[in-house]
Amino acid sequence: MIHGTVVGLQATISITICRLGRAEVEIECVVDTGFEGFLTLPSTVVTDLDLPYVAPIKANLADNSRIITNVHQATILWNRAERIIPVLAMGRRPLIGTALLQDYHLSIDFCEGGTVLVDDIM
Amino acid sequence: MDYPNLSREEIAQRGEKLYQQSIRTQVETAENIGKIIAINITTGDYEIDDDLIVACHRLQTKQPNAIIWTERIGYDAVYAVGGTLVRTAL
Repeated sequence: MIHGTVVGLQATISITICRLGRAEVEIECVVDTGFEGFLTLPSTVVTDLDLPYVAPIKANLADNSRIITNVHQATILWNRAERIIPVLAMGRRPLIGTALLQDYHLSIDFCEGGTVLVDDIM
Repeated sequence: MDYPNLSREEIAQRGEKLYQQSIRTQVETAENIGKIIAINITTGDYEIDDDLIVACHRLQTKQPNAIIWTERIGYDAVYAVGGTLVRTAL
């Protein structure tokens, strides 16, 4: 079970990034159900965390534009298990997408300080 | 993997051209629609998998210096970030 909080009408969850031989890093992310990938992080954070480069990809944005952005890989702790996921280096605010929520149940109490819960599908 | 010497725009341009002209018709089958293809833009070799990281790693294992471009087979982009993936395959 993964817990988060609603802040300013945005559902937020903290993601733990695992780094070989170095301290884990927690990053607060916004749950974005319009994003079909796993995770976005600002380029500066990707550089600071030294996440390995994988390849560039095309991504379609909400304004119908298409961008080329770099994918890096990260090992994260998700529901107490390590997962290796692609991370898009873009934007200013870290986003969690639906690929990470696939096969989980998401519930949100949409009020300030409300509970965000990611759990197994019953 | 280290950053390649080419810019991501140059990789995209070469990768898209290679995919559209030489690879697309071979791989755009019903069972592959929606999967990720990782293409070595220098050799034209490729790997297909549901998982982008797995496809890229499999290609790099065989060709460690591969400069990789990726596509989602049958769609116009790999991910939608607020937008929509448009299906391009029939």
